[in-house]
Amino acid sequence: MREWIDRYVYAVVYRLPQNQRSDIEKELRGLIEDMLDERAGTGEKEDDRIAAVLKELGHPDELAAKYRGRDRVLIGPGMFDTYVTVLKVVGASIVLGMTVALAIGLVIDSSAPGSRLLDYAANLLAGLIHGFAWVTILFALLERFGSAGKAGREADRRDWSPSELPPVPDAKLSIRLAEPVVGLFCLVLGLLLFLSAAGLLAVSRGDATVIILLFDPETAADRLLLILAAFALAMLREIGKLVERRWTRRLLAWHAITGLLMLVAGLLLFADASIWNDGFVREWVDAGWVDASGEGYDVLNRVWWFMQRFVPVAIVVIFAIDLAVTLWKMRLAGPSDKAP
Amino acid sequence: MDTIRDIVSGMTQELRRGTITIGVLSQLAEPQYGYSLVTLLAEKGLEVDAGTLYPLLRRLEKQGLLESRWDTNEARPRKYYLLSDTGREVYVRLCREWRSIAEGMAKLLEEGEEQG
Repeated sequence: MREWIDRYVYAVVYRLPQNQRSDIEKELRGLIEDMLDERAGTGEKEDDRIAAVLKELGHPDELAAKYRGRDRVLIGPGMFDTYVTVLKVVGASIVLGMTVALAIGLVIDSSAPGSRLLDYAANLLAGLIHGFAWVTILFALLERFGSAGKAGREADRRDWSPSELPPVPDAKLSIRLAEPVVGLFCLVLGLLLFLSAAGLLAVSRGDATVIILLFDPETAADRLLLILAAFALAMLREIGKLVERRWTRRLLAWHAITGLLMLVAGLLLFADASIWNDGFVREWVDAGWVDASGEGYDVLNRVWWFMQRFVPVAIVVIFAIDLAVTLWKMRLAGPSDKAP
Repeated sequence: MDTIRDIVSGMTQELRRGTITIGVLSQLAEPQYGYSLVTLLAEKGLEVDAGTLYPLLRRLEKQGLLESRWDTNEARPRKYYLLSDTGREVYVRLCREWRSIAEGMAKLLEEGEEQG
């Protein structure tokens, strides 16, 4: 089977860089012919000789790997443990969030539980795939470009001196594992809640059910990119904590920058009242839960009015406090990182 | 005692890995193509798989230690490799390193034998 040679050579070169392929192929074919020639005198059948030569060269994948000459990893050993932790947390939050959503859905409307379960399973699967994909992409990028990634590690490790070793962190500056884990968990849950409150999560509902949305679905859909960007920033924040595990100046700077960006995103999102469902109060009345002429209506109206103004202020206050705490930790962390 | 044999063979492989490069450089003052080099090294007692040698030759070429040219005059086109100026310099220095390692090791092993 001369064809085995073609197959073997192809199996070696097809994943190698285009510009080297033909050269390697020519060389490899020459080598195989040379090795066959050497066995010519042994009286073996040609097929056996070809098989023996190819076996001697080793598995094509291995040979290709030798030609490539370097390990190709998406996520290196330095980040792998963190990657797995984040995957677990994100996965668990998605499962819990979706399950809570299912439970709420069933309480609101217990008709057609079968189709609801099917929806749940489909959404869960999609959610898990999404979560897995995004976390993986994120870590692959960190591996390529982040300072914890390969390039930074090699440069850092070549010339270091013991004096650069970071001090054992002040108890106030160490980050317990639970903190970012709970953070990530709340974020996923929060996003799910926000999206369902804006009617952006597909929920099949019976006609008899009244669902009153907190947010305006169209405006929310318009600003979906902003919402997801803010969410991604918040995730990156928590992941930063998971990677560093102590408040370094680098992490604090990262924290401050992402905080400011999130503040901007939050203010843009709630900049005008159009994000709120303007039919909110009317829908309560329509559902018969409050009487348009009663006292409850007044209270509801006032709460609703207050909330629309309170949220942007709350966002500013929260991030201001966050920034203040960050700056305080920055002072505590001292003048330099003595990078780990 | 398969485990002992496995351990020894694994360690031997590691030991040999570093020596192959010097061995290859030592033979390329004259141009050689891959398979002629395999035979040449084998004759002199250094067994190298073609599957290891061919990628190594390309890597050394990429590092600038070897130069290459295709000879298409013969029936079978062959890629010949030859030490470059850099390659020669690297080889000389590697030899120096190798001798000092070998001397150090010889001393250590001698002492070990006297004591054991």
